[in-house]
Amino acid sequence: MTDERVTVRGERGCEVVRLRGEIDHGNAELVERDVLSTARTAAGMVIDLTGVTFLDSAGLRCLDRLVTAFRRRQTPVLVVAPDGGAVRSTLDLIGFLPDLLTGTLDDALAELTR
Amino acid sequence: MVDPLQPAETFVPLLEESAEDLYERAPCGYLSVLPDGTVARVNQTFLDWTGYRRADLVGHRVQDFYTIGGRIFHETHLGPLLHMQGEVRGVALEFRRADGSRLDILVNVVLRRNQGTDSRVLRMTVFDATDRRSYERELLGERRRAERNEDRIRVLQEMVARCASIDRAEDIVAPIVAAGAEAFEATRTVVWLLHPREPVLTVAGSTEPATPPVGLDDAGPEARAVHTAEVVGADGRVVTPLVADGRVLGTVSFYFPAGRQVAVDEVELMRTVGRQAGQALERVRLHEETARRAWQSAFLARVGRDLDEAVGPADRARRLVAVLVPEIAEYAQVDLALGEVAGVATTSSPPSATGTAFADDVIARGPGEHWEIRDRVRETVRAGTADTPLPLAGPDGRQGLLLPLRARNTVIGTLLLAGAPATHGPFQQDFLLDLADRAGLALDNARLAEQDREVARILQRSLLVSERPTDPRFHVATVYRPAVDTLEVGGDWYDAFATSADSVGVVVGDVVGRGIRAASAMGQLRSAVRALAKARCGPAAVLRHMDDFVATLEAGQMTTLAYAELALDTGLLRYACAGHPPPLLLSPDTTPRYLWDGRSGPLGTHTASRTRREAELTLPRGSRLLLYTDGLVERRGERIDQGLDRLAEALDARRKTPIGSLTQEISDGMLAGEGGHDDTCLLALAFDGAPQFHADVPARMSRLSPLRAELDGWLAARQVPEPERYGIVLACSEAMANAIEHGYQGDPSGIVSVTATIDGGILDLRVSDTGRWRAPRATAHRGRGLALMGRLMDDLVIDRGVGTNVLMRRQVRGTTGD
Repeated sequence: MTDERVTVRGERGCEVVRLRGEIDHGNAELVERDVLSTARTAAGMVIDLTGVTFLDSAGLRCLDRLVTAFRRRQTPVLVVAPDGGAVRSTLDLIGFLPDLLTGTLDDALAELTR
Repeated sequence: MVDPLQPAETFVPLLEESAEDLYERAPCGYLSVLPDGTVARVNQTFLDWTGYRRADLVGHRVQDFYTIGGRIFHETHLGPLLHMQGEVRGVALEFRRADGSRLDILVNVVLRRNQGTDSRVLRMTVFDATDRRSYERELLGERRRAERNEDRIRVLQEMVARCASIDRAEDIVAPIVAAGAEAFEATRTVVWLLHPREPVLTVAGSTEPATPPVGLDDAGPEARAVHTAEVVGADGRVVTPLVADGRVLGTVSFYFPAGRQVAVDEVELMRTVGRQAGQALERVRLHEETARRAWQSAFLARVGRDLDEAVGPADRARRLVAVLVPEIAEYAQVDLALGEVAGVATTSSPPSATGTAFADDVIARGPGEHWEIRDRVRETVRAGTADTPLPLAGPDGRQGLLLPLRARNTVIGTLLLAGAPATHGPFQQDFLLDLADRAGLALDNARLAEQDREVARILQRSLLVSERPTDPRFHVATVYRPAVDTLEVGGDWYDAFATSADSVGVVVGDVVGRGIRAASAMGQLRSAVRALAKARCGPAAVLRHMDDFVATLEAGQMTTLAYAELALDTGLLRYACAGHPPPLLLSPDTTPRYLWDGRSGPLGTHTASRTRREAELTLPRGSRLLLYTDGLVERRGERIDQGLDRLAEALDARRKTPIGSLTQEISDGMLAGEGGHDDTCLLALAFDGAPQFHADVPARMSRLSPLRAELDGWLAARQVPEPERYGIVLACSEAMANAIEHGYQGDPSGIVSVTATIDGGILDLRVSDTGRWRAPRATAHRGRGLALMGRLMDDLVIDRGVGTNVLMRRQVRGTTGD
């Protein structure tokens, strides 16, 4: 399950963490652990939520911790959540920092490699 | 005269006296006159009386020696009488003496015819009648004077009669002037009236040209007549004082032409004129004063009444100026801005006296622009030391009076009056101050009442709007309508609350009275019912305890209420009515019916039954129960049973109406066209047979995802659109995660129950566990789940008792009821 839910690959000098499916109380801690153990140090970090179908408060907490961890490594982070999607609206609802959000992976990479 | 004791012969020599001498020296005059008046013979006596010589008379016509009156009398009376009767006796005639003076005589005249010849002669015997004539003349003069005075008295009586019927002081002028002309032939008569308070005489009635007033220090006879209270004659006029009860009210001046002598009796009559007219004047003044006072007190009463009809202070101020103009003044201005004066001590009035209540500061009526009242003037009025109105000059030079509007020992504003009153004036300051005091009190009462109303409204609103239990097995909808024709809040209330995890209590009550007292009593009663209901002792016991409670809360006595408890698992309804209209039940497939059992008297009653009864019945799902206050079914001119019938029909006609809009529609329908003279509370409890989702899930996080899918599918089948579905599912998932994490502490043997219904566009979601909830460690992340639930749903209630019930509700679009 884990490798389906979390994939990490390098792209344009950045690490792109792609999450898929549901991230909830049942798996958020696993997801966090997987990402932190898989992602390498890079010029920038993208957490792509395009494939996430459900994100609850545990998922949000997981995102928080990931962002905090990458920042501690001095790695710039962006989160990709498509506009109009359910995940995006949850992030908006909870007041996720807009500076950290982009709508597409391309935008995120463009901004990190600028 | 013959003395019978004397010898008869002693008279003889007298009888032998010479006839000639007897003729000449007779004690009367003799004249013999020819028919043409020529004197033929005259005796010495007549010559002695008249001072003529014989030659002066004999051969002359006797008419020449008459006075003119005598001559006329001779020709018109004497001649014809003699011709007819041959003699005339006792006729009064006047002769002219030789010295020109008059000799009053009485004559007897006899016409003698000489036998044989046709010659005739008049023999006249003349008696001196001087004494008698002067007496007669005196009598005549007296009679004439008496007749003259009789005329005068008649004139004066007429004057008195006219004076007695007058209503206004100035009306006294005409009768006096008429009396002056008719009784005394005065060329002019002027009435002066003394000013009630100032030493000044002014001419009453209109004069042309206008006569200036005269001070009492004037040297003229009018002022002197006032001082002496006596008739004074000077400068061609006689002045008599107008006197009543020893007080001088004015004077009357009679003007006479030069040389006119005024007799003593005329002076007496003039004095009488003064007294009579004075009394009439006094009477009329008393009458005017009485009428004035009557009008003023009626006016004050009217002001009080009119102001009471208006509700707020600004409305009352508008009423006030409308009442004052034009009857009291041409212009009236109410200024309630006193509170803005720095340093106003408002110890006796609450702070809002200076705030919104009087925001509409200046209210005026009448011509011209508003008068600006300077701070210093306000300060003076506010200090309230001067007990007199403050004279003020207006923007256009008009003169005005500034009066303090006082209430409860504080000056709350000013009332300005300018211009003459329309009819009843001028007004004394006592009246105006009294008027201002009444107005001040009415305005202040309005302000206090408004505060009370505001407090009561806030109180009531805070009591009526509170969280309601959320459970998919029932719905409660309410409506509260305040009466429109009063601003005072009533004591109606409704309430709905969970009495246990599986039962709900609903109550509608009605506290006697209105206003803040009723509202606060309502608050206490409402809390008491809630507290007692949670003890789960049943409706009758709740009422019994409420009886005890109102024994200590006087305002709560005679409160009526209907209370019902519904067991959500079995549908058992227990209810009781304390003097309250019966609940109305509508079950599926039956017509509405009133629940007439379980009745007893109002709370704390001494006249109705205090044996508290309750009744019960089982409701099928889909039933609806209405509780309401009498305002809903009472309509003027309609019997209460007619109102109940209308309500039953209204409910029957709305079987398919979603519960959310049912109460609104029924109250609209029931109160349509009705002013709503009473407050109305309506509560509807629906025991739902609404489409339901239910799942019991083991307390494992791994079960969240499948449950979400199941719920999402159920919602999708009910046409809940995608974004809303996602939110609902997310909220449900969060609640379940909480139950697993905190309720069961990860104990996988626990069960989390999820129930959802959709009815009338409202989704109810209930997530419950039976775990022992532990307070989580406080972290920044902790609140995120709750925050999400709160933001995703319209209502969120977390009920922690035995286990935790999370009740959530939100409106969903595009759904159907089934």
